[in-house]
Amino acid sequence: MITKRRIVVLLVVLGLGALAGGAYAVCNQTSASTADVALWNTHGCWQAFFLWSYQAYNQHQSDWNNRGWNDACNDNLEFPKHWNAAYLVTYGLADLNCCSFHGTIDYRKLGEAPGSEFHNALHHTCSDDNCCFGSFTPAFWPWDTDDLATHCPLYNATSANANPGSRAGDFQHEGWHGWLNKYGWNNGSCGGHRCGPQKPGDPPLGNCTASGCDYFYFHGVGAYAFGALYQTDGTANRFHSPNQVQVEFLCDVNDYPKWWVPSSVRQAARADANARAAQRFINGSGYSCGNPRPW
Amino acid sequence: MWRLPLTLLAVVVAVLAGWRASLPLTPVERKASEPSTKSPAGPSPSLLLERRSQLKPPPLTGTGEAAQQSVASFIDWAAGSTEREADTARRLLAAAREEGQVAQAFCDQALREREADHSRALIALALLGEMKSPAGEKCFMQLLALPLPTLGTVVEGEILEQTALATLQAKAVDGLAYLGTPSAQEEVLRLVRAHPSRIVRAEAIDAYLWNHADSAEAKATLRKYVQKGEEIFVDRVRRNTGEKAESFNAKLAAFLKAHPEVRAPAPEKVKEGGPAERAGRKLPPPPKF
Repeated sequence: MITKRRIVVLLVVLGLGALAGGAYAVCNQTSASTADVALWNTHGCWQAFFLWSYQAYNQHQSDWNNRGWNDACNDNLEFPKHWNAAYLVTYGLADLNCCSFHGTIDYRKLGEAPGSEFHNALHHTCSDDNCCFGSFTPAFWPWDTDDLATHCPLYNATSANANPGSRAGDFQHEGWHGWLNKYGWNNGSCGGHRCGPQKPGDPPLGNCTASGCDYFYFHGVGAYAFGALYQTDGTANRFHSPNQVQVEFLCDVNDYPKWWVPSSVRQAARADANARAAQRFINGSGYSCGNPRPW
Repeated sequence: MWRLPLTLLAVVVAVLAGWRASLPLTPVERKASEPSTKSPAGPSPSLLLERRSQLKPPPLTGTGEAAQQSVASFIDWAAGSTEREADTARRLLAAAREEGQVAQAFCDQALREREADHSRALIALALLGEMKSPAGEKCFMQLLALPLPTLGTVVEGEILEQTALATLQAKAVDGLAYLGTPSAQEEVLRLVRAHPSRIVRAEAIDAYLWNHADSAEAKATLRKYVQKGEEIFVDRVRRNTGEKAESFNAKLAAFLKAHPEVRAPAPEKVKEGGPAERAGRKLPPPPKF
């Protein structure tokens, strides 16, 4: 039987435990995926880049302190993995007018922090919540910035999405939620998407089998000049959804990268793009990316 | 005598704990310091890429443990290889086609790494597929027979472990379709009809078409196998690597004409007015590559 004294002691212990809850766990920090390592080897921890990228992505020590902020060349940690993906966005695309869906200028502005035609000013954080690959939270206070968080499934090497392309693809996806928010578009009530099947056995929403679904607003190559991805005419003829922007980015990584982008980064980007295209769109699948030739 | 102060202390601690729990996990206060490392600064990427171009691929041969070592080194090289080295990789893989233990080593690597390092398993399967080895067919069948996990980490409604295996199985389908033996083709068509994952079924359709030059005959064959509700995957637009706008846009126009039902409804506004401007600070350009 628990006495009053014991109850009081228990309350104190529980309370102190909750106070200490700020020291939360972090993602799996024991390894990096082969694709991450391959891209890393192309720059070998380029210090000038991360000293630029932390500003470009408005990252702060207090958010990344136990994630490699002061160990920025340890590619097992989240901060180095984040800037490895930023490096891919900044330098990795070929930007061919003949062929690419969009250009580096689009993908950079969408992922980076400063406010622009693409979104309001934001900052990048990391989250241990396995709810999602990424999340976008609009600022509550007028003086704050929007929060773009990337979560552990983009960092843990065992996860299929723990590669530079998928991580950078999430910058695009969440950045596009910032675009929807900035211009006041409603993309649905399930985490900013239309509600698909919420539990196993539920029927798909059109062709979408995921819990959050988008439309694919098909457009040809060259329909958007580089830098004009943010544009819309307010109709389905000229519009994008978050998953679509992500698929188009991943396709550009696979199909039209700079010559030096490692094959493992491209292969992982293609796998993510095609899986996403097959599962997350209501009105049929998105484009299929790249040749199915194995190598 | 001590009961009252202790109770008060408990109440204060409980209130503080509740207040702490209501805060976001990420602290609001941010410091202005920059990231750092103890590692010495290395050369610029352009210099490293020059070194990479001088790197020779490891030999792909051997039996037993030597084959395993050889394949592990080859995967390391191939994972970092660039498009300029793609033909070299293909040539070496074709030359090793008859080396059964080398093919088996690729299979072993894929199966071993599939739950530890997804992109390494993906590369191992891609290389095995490019080999067009009889051992590859057996390996792909083995991988495709693995049941999809029904429990695991649920992220945005999908089970991560299920998607991870399905994407590897999709790569195995690419290998089977590229192999092109009657038994492999039969298996690809069976997967179009019966595989539990849409990721794999969609890839099986795409790979079958690509390996049959996207012919009308191949489409007709696929329509006999495709699941109800997935017929549109047979007409899905593929952007081939290296394809120019004219070619891709023509295919897209034909697709949209044949399938007017895929046009999305008009997007919906929730609020009117111009965007709120919160531009933040301006950035310097990124460092020169």
